[in-house]
Order: sequence, then structure tokens, then C-alpha cells
Amino acid sequence: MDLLVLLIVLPLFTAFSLGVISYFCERFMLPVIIGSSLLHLVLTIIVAAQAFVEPIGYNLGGWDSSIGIVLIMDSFAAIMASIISILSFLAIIYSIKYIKENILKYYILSFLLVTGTMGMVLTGDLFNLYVFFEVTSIASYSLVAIKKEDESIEGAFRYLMIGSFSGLFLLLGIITIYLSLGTLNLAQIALSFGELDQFTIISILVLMIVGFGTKFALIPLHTWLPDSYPKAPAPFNLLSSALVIKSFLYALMRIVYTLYGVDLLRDIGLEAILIYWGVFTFLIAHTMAYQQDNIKRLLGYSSIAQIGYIVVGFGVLSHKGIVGAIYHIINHSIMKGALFLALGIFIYYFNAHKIKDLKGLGFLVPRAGVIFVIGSLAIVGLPPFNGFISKWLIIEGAIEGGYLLAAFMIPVGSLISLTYYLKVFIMLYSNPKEGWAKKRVAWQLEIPALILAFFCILLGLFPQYPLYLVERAPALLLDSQNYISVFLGG
Amino acid sequence: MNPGMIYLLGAGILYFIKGRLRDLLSILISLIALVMVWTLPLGEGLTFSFLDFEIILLSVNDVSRLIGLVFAFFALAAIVYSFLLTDKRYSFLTYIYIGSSLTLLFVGDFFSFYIFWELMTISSYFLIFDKTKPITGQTSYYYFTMHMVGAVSLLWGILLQYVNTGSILLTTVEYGLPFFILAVGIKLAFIGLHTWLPQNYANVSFITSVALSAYTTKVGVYGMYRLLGEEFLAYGGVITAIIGVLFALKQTEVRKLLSYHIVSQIGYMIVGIGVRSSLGVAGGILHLVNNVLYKGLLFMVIGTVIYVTDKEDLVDLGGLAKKLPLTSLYGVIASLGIAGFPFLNGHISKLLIKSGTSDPILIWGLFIAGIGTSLSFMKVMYFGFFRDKGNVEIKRKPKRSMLIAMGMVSFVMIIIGIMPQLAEGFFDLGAKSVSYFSLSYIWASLQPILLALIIFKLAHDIIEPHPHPEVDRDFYPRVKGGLDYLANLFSQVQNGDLSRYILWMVATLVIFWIKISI
Repeated sequence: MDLLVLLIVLPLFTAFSLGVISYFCERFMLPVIIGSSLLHLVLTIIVAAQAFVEPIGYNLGGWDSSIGIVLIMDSFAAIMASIISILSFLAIIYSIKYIKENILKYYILSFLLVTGTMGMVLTGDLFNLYVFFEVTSIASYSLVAIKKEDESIEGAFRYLMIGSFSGLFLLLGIITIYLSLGTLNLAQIALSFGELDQFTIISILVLMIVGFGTKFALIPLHTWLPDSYPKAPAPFNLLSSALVIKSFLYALMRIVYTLYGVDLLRDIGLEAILIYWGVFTFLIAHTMAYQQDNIKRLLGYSSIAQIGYIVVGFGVLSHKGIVGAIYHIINHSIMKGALFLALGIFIYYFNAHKIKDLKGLGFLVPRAGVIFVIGSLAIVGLPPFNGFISKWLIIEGAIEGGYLLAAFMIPVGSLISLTYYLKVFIMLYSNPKEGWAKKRVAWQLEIPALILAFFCILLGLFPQYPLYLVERAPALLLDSQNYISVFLGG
Repeated sequence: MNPGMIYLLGAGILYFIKGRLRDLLSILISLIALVMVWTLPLGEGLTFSFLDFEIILLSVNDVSRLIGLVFAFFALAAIVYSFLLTDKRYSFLTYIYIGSSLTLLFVGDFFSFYIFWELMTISSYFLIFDKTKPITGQTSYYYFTMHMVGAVSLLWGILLQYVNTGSILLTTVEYGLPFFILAVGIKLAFIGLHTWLPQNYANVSFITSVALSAYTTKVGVYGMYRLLGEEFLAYGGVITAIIGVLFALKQTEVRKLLSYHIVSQIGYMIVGIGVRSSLGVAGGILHLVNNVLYKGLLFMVIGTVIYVTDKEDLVDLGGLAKKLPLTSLYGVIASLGIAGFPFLNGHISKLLIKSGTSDPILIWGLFIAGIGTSLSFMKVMYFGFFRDKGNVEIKRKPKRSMLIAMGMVSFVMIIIGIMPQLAEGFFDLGAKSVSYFSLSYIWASLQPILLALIIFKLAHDIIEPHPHPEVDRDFYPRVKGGLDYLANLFSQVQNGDLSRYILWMVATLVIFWIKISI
């Protein structure tokens, strides 16, 4: 499938050509940006539709697969790829209006970010995984600092330092694998992984989990996230929260499940560790979110908490848990997207960064207010919104796995999250400040947010359709033999 | 089709319609819903599968049909009452609120039960939260949080029940009982868990309080009837009835007083349903029906007073009987109804509850609560309407739609009062029929009223409303303090020091390594 490689090359090529285009004929820049991301969206859907039927493997340039570049797309990757291209398309539309300074840099970095996340999702070998890992990270660091204010540079610096450490750990893990097995192809590693001694196996696991865990913000490795969010532009917050941390999580789960397999993971005892780590993460993150007064920090902590839920789902190591976790990945991307885009509207028109700045905005930009409310109710996990369905699935998975306490903590966490989202509601629907008037919201800002909010309801009322696709995803995770056979023939 | 769906669909339609047409249409929709409930056949229908569950969206029995009838009827009355006083937001939210409570009565599985249970909470939260009354920001926060505690425990109870029995059918629960009790207890304002009720019902606009008074707690009672089969709850009911009435006696703000009476009346229903005898359950359910009617009527009456005078504290009111004769008449009917005066509906259901049990604690407890009830409504009616206090200013005339709505409710109350066999048809009482109008029963019903009259005469000065300081005994806000404390602690630990963060990373790596190697 040649189209598969286009999914990575297209945004990469766009990113590089933007510089040239802006130098020679600047008025073509906007059409190119929109056209490219629209084309990307279409391509992704075409490829994903095929991948749902049968996993696609692709060997770039026909090199020997032990060192060559290998791409693979199964149902799980197809879901991730669709999320990435849909949300980045919406973010680009949103950015047309929202971004006013450093436009060129912003778009170049955004396209690099899409390249990186897409690459991490599609890659089938560890070398490229590391490359895309760093591409994503560097694009993120720079996007955080794009406003060139003190606070954003400080946030970006912290992010960079902590990110480098995590990259270091990941690299150590990859080197260990290469030294002991002589290959970087995931499928080939998986075949001979059982021959390694116990110490190596555990070292690799620990390095990988801490390396990636820093990137997708497991507490106490989350420290970069709340500091980097507040000053970054809202569409980047959306990309970071909905795509970047999810694709790191995806990459880790892909590696862990494929290399180790469910049985080995149970033997090592990772099941309980992941589940309680997830519970720890979401309880602490909810509590921290409770006392934030900056809304972006609040939403950032809320993202960390949702990662906690997803990790619980993956930690159960069963079909139901994984389905719940993947569905929660989809849902969280959508609801957090809606929240950040609605917040972006508040920031754009009223410069509202703190909760108290939101006073009365629910009446001044009514649709944005409603979108924010829908997103919050969904993320709290109230029916009939989508968050409820996926949380229910995760809880059910945890109960079936025998982790009653962890399952019980999930609704308790939702309860805490309600208490801080209600604080925002109260401000949103109080009497507006004197002299503030209603604003007409530009369609570029409103339409993407509306679409996401609409999907919050749609995926809650009709979960059977997305779940029909999600149900296929665990097959390649739970039985790594399926994954290996995509490449090496079964 | 589930009649509640009419309201839910109607909400969507009403949102896009403006002005007078919306009010007319909303009355029409509630009429259709009422007719649908009336003609609803018994049995199940409308099943489909959702996720792994068999969802039953329509499962009708006599009890749910009876409650559904009174819900739909009262919805009609409340909508007529608020004719031309509402805005778009109110119509939309009330319709979702009423629709979800009505739908909830007719669902046959836990999953949809939970969904509509939550939908009620969400819609009523936004109904309560009103920017023109800033205090509702805080009270509604309290309301939603408390109901969310209930919802979380309901969800957990349902999960336990589902995982252990493998069935999602709505039945009396076998597993996770404490969670169900907590959930139902919060919804029906069990004493100790009732704190959300008075502060909210007394602070919203009067139209909203009319709608709220009828549904939230009653759905809780219905939940208790469907889910819980525990007999010890009846004693809790007596305690709720007595303590609720004691709190009520202290109040001077009429809607706060009525709110505590909701708590107290719920106590009666808990007793009736808790004893589990056929007479008791019939009494409890019938009391629910009656309570929707007379408590709703009382909220309508005080709502009219607020509309007319902009005052609602008994300290400021008085002498309204001459100025608002018809409203006063309805007030008297409702008061007599709630006090259990013969030939009005309260008499019937109180009698049934008392005949349903032979436990002296329950009977005497309810007797005491009955005295308190009569006493506090003498207080409301005398000091609000009949005492001479000429200086209460009438700012506008009560709307005709309000008077019509109150008339409708009063009419149904009297019908049930003089023809109890109509309501009895919904229950299987067997041979144990009660002759409601025998002299001994009438005497029994009059006793608490007469006693209350004597006490009222003797203790007139104590009862006379005078301004009193509010005492805050609420324990729950302290939980919030605990959360604040924890959150502060965490953010002190996470102080922005980069070297500390990197230390955490390395420490995590080491600890994780050690933990997994052992």
C-alpha cells in the first residue's frame, strides 16, 4: 500500500515547502495549508477504511526488514490515525483565525507535529519510532515557546529538560534491545524476545514505561504538562492533549503488548502496577485540578487524569479493558478538543485565562458556553455523553479483572472532576461584567468546536458504531502472533 | 412509546420556537403526554440492545402508571401555571426535567434508569442555577455535587448488581445494597441527606420551585419502591417525618417551610413502602400521588403570593385572604389536604399507611408528625392569610392561568378525597379494603388537627413568626475543606523546581525497577 507512506510524507513535505511558498508567493500559503490537511484527511480515511478490513504492512524502499523502514496499520493504528488527521484538520481551520503572530513557524511546526505523531502511530520499527518521538517532542517544545513570553519560554525549557531525560531513557531501552537481539523491527524482536534473560526484559520494560510515561504524563512524571499549557496557543493545546500524549501512550502500549505479550506481562506483575498507577494518577490529578485558577492548567490536569483512566483500561490486559481504553482515547480527544476550542474562543475575544475572567461569558458568546458545558459534562462522565460509555466499559473491565477498588475509584474521580468543572460553570453563567457586550464569533473558531461538541453527544447516543470498529482493535494487541504475521507471513 | 419521550422530543422543538406560540405548544405537548399515559397498556415494549445490554424503554405496571398519571397531570398544571411567564431556557430545561422523570418511571432496566436519573439531575441543576439570583450559584453547586454522590453510588450499586447477577433488569436489588440506599436516600431527601433540598427550593424563582417540588424527591420514592425491600427503612421514615416537621415549624420563609414538609411527607411514604404490606405500599404510593398534588398546590399558592407581593416571609405577610380570596381558598384546601382532613386526599393515604402496619412506634410516630404538620400549616394560613395586617402591598393581580392551574389541582384533590375507590383500582388490596368514611376513621384523622388547634391557641406567641438567626449545622461543606487542604498540600510539593522534577523521574525509575524485580 503506497498510500500509507503518504500519510507521513505529506505533512512533512508540506512543512518544508511552506517556507519556500511563503518566501515566493505568500498568498498561496493558506490554500496550501488547508488543501494539504484536507488531502491528508481524505487519504487517512481511505487507508483506514482498508486497514479496518485487514492490517496493512509496508516496507519502505524494499530494504531488509531488520534495518529498513517498516510501516504498519492495523485497526488500532487506523483509529489513532483517523483521530490525528481529523483533529489536526479542525485545529488548522481554527488556527486560520486564531494565530496572528509567527504564522509561518506555527504552521511548519504544526505539520511537523502531525508528521511525528502519525509516524509514531504507523511505524513498525524502533529506530523510526525514536526518530518520530523526537520530531514530535521538538515540535511540541517549540510550539509551547512560540509566543516568546517569559512564561512560555520557561514552560518550554522545563518541557525540554524533562523531555530530554525521557528521550534518554527510551533510547537506552532501544539500545538494549538492539544490542541483545540485533534487530529493530518490532515483529522480529517479538519473535525472539523470549530468549532474553529476565533482567534485560525487566530493564527494557522499566525504561520504556518511564520514558514514554513522562511524555504522556503519568504522575509523578507529569510535571512538564501543567507548566507548558497556559501560554501556548489553544489549537496547540488541543493537538498536545488530544494527539501528542495519546500517540505516546499508543506507542508504549504497542511495544509493551507486542513484545511481552499478555502472559509475560501477567507474570511480571505489570497488571496491578499499571492499574494502581493509573488510579493514583487520576486521583491526584483531579485533586490538583480542583484548586487551579488558570483554566488551561485545570484542563491540563484533567487530561492527566483521563490518561489515568486510559492506563487503567490498558492495565487490565483484557479485551474489554482495551476496548474501553481505546474508546476513551477517542472520546477524550473529542471532548478535550471541544473544551480547548471553546476556551480558545473565550481567550480570543475576552482574553480570559483565569476562571474568574470567564464571568458571564456564557451569555456573551452563548454557543461557546454551551460547547464548554457539553465538553465538561462529557468529560465528567455523565450520560448521555460519550465519556460515560467509555468510563462504564473501563469500570466493567476492571471489575471483571478483579480490581474492585480501582473500579470504584473511577466514579469517585468523576465526582471530584464534577466539583471543579462546576466552578467554571458558575462563573460562565454569572452576570457579565459591566460594559462587556455580546460578540459574534468567527466561523473558523466556532465550526470546529461545534463539530467536536456534536460528536460528544453523537458518540454517547450511538456508541455501537464506533465500538464496532474499536472491538477489532485489541486483536493484534492481545495476540502478538497476529502482529508478527502481518510482516513475516503467518 | 414511552410518554416521557414526548417531553424530551418536545424540548428540542420548543427550543426553536418563540413567544406565545411556544407557551401554547408546550401546553399542547403536555396534554398529549397526559393522554398517552392514560391510554398506556400494561406490559413491556420497546426493547433493543445497547452495548451488551437489553434495554427496556417501556415497562408499565399499575404503580408506575398511577405515578406517571399524576406526574403528567401535574406537569400540565405547572405549565399552565407558568403560562407566558417563561423564557426559552426555562421551557427547554423543564421539559427535559419532566421528560426524564416521566421516562424513568416506565423503564425496565438499570442502565436506562441510571441515564434518566442523571439527566434529571443535570437538567434540574441548570434549572436551579439562575444568574438573576446569585446565591443559586452556590446552592446549585451543592445540589449537583450531592446528587452526583448519589449517582456515583447508584452507578456502583448497579455495576455490582449487574456483575453479580448478570442481569440488567430493574428489580429489587440483591447486591450493593448500601450504595442503593445512599443513592435513593439522597434523591428522596432522607433526613441527614436532605440538606440540598430547602436551600435550593427556597431560593429559585417561584415558577421553578413549582416544577421542582413535584419530581426529584418523588422519583427517589419510586426508586425506593422499585429497588429496596428492606423493612428497617420504615423506622428511618418515621424519624424523617418527625424531624422534618420539627425543622419546618421553625421556619418563617414559606418555601423553606414547605421544603422541610417535603422531607417530612417523604417520611410518610418511606414508612408506607418500607413496611411492605399491600396496604402500606398502596398507602405510600398514594401518598406520593397526593403529595405531588397538595405540595405542588401549596408551592403554586405561595408562588402566586410572591408574584403578587414580591414577599415570601411570614414576618412580612398577613391579611391576604381579603385581597386574594381565590388563592386563599386553594391554600386552605391544600393545607387541609396535607393535614389529612377527611374528604380530602391526604386523609385517604395517611389512613392506608397507618392501616398497613401494626407497629406502635410507626403509628405513634406518624401521629406526632401529623400534629406537627397541622400546626405548621395553621401557622402558614393564619399568619400569611388570615391575621390582620393591613400594610401588605399588592403589586400585580394574579394571572388567570395561575388560578386555573390551582383550580385543576384542587379539583383532582377533592375527587380523590371523596372517591378513593378510583385510586384504589391501581392496587391489589385483596379483601383488606378500608372504609375511609366510617366515623372512627374520621375521628382518628381529626384528632391531630384538633390537638394542633389547641396547641396553636396555647402557644400562639411562640409560634408567631419572628426573625430568627440561621444556624448552620451543615456538615458536608467540610468535606470540601478537606479537598482544598489536600490540593494545597500537593501543589506545595509540586513547586516548579526543575531539579526536583528530574529527581522524581529518576526516583520513579528506580522504585519501579525495584518493585518489578522483586
